[in-house]
Amino acid sequence: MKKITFIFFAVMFLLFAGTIFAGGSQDSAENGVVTISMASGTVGHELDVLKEQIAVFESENSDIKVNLVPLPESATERHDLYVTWFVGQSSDVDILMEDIIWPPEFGAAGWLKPLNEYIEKYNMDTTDFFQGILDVNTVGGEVVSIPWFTDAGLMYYRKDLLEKYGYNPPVTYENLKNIAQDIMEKEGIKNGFVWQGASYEGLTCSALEFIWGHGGDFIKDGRVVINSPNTIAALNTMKDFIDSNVSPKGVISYQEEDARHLFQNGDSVFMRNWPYAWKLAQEEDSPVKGKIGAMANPTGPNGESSATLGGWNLGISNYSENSEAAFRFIMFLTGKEQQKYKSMNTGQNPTLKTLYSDPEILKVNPFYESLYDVFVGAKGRPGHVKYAELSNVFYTNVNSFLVGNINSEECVETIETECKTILSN
Amino acid sequence: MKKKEKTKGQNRLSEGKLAIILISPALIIILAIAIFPLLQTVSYSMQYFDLRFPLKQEFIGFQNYGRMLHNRVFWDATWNTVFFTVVSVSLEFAAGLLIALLLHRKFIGRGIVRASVLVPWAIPTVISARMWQWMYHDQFGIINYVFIKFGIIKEGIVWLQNPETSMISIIITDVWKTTPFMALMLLAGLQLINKNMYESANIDGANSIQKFFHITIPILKPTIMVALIFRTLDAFRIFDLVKVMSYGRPPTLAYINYENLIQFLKFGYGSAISIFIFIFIFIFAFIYMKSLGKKFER
Repeated sequence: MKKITFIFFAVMFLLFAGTIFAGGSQDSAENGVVTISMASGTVGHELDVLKEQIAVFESENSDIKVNLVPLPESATERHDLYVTWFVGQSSDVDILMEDIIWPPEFGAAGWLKPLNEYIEKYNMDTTDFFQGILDVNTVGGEVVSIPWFTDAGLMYYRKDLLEKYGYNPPVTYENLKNIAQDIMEKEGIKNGFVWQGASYEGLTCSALEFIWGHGGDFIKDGRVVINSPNTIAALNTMKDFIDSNVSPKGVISYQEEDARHLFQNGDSVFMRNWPYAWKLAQEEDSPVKGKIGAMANPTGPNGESSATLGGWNLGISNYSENSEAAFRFIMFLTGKEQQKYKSMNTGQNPTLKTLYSDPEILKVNPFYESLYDVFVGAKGRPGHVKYAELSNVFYTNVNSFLVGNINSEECVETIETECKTILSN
Repeated sequence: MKKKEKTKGQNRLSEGKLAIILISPALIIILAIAIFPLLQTVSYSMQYFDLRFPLKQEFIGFQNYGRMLHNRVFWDATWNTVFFTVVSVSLEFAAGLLIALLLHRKFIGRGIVRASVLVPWAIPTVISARMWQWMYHDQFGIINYVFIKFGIIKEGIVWLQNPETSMISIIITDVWKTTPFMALMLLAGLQLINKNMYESANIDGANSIQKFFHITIPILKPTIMVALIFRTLDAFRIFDLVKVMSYGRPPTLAYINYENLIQFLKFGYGSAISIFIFIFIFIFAFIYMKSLGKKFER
């Protein structure tokens, strides 16, 4: 009996050990065909369109196969996933979709492959890209990511209701509040104005638009300038929307999709959101199809209409084993033809200037023309390698203020002190 | 006869040596998997190690700890964690004990009830976090819907973000999830109690309360201690609910630990927080073990 037991276990062990080694590396080069992996978002129609684009690319480039790795919805979670891959020096994913605030951080850590040599080798024309965006993607003189699509915060509104009650789209927040209150009462709509107030990066984007709109700022030229009367006034405006019930109390927990659900359902008069929401709200099954408009953000006193620059860019992991093939795919995706296709099917903004006057694109996204200045003038968040930490201090304290834990002076003072400490370390 | 015994004694290993040889594979694995990373974390915690500045890595002694102990967010998180641990473990214990006492009796359908009580424990935490998040939603959530329908409140409460209600919401979800575990552990302990004790108490004229406090609880004490140790150590490290359900509100120690390591890439500072959590838990476990030992000695 003992002998049989021993042989049984020995065999099991060998089989087990065998499977470990048999797994091997899913090697990418077989018969000269290279497989590259791309990590991509899946919001709205992103994934479907990307699959279609991959099919076209593979038919034109028989030596490359593209594998998709879907990402979580939240930008913060994507960032954390990337960090896990980078620290593990994983070669599993070649192309990464990066939020506009990550290239300085990832670049400094040495995690992105410098692309200048490929740009030269393949003669890639970078002049049509928005220069501001390209600058953010350049670290130490080397381009580390290629702009794929851009984003800017917009104010959506119920065009049909504003017209019904004879209102022009508001230019000031005060005006917006009055219009919202009036229409809320007369139409029995539950919410006047929904935006993103949860304690996350999206709040930084939303809040900065209020703050810039009141003439204030957060960090300028590397210095913390948040403690100013204009910023405090902006914060008070934000809080006032909640206190006067124009914005629901729940806005302190809303991210982009929460706001969009309410607006698209017809339960809000105004919404601050990114351009992606337009296409979804205009689909067949949307209760507000054909009833919405999009405009530049209103302002407070002393400020000018501002939009936060968002957008996603494609970079290559420095641990990738197929960086050249990856670059060829990136060049394909960020070229004129594919950016046009993407823009017409997902509503996401191209990063090439000339596409904004293309008549076919304008038919699908009419506000590209009227809001061109908004996109060109969108302001970037502080492009600092420690941005994640600084933004965290900003949005946790602003959220605390909106919830009612601290007042606006305490809020800016805390942010000022803590950010100064972070920057000086 | 004597000669044979002597030879036998020389050929057989002493029990002690045999024990060491048999345990050593497990010990080596534990050393590799647990002790080595622990020592590495201690080492990181004494360095300036920031992935955003990979070239600046250097030894800085206890500076990370100093910074940590002066940090407001750290103390907020510590307080939140302690509060959460005390309240949730107490509630889970009380509820678990009640359920265990109920399940200890024979009634029709007891098997089904016993199995269904385990369902919350069986659902992966991430899924129940998302489920509860939706239930807590201020406009679409069922909890607000029911409360408003019954006229308890006029408009939806923002359960997860409101400072007054966010801690309670997390505690409720955690209690829902872990009470079954407590109940099962206590039930196992209850079933070890000798029924004869209750019979003799009945003869002596004891009522239910006296039987409960003088028989049930004392005999159950070891089981209670083990269950409490498990739950306290787990509760102190609460992370998944805070991250998935309420996006870091209110912040707990494990959450800010994660934030500093993965979001800010501050591996040195983050390691200091990890070691703090480790020391805290270690002391807790030590105290519990000591008092458990005392109980057995009695």
